[in-house]
Amino acid sequence: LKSKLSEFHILDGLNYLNNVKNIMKKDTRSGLLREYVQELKGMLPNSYEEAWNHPDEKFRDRWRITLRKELRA
Amino acid sequence: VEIRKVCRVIKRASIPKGRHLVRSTWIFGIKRSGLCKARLVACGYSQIPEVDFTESFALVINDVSWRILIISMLVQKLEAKIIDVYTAFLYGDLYEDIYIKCSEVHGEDEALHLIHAIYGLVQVARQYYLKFIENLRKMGFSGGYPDS
Repeated sequence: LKSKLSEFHILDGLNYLNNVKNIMKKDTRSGLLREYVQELKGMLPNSYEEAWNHPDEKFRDRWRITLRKELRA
Repeated sequence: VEIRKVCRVIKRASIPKGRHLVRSTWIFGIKRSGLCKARLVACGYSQIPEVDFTESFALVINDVSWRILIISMLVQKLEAKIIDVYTAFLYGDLYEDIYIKCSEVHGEDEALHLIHAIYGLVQVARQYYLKFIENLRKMGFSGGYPDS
């Protein structure tokens, strides 16, 4: 499973893990999710510019959506 | 989901003379579900006392009082309900006019005039506390002697 997940983009891997609740053991899934979240936390942007102009397209789209939402308020 | 307006964009020229801009920063986070979160927060350390805030004290329950409450709840077989207010601090009303600098989004000639409190302000916890007790009183609750 880990090798399969390593082929995915990190966000797709996280989505996959969130959608396979019934296939995998709860502990295994929880452990993998924790690893993913830890890795993602290490990749958080430090500034608005960094988030808005993120080099990775998938991250950039997500950050732009969330920044727009915050700016609407 | 309804988005509550917490500030409005104004021209820097319209800010009263002598008022300074409170600095702001962006905080980023990512949830287990993959949801990305971003929030503009004020840098409370750049607020000037007596100008941008006066009081900051927010009452919280004493740990002994909390235990007495739990025990009396058990003895009298009362039911308890836990509530969680999402983005609670954003509900606080502000008594002061606060202007926020957010040049990465709005440029150097604009600023944000706060309508409600935002995270990071020195008085944010107090303003939420005042809003919370105001609503409790509207619901018919009354405080004890020390609260009155």
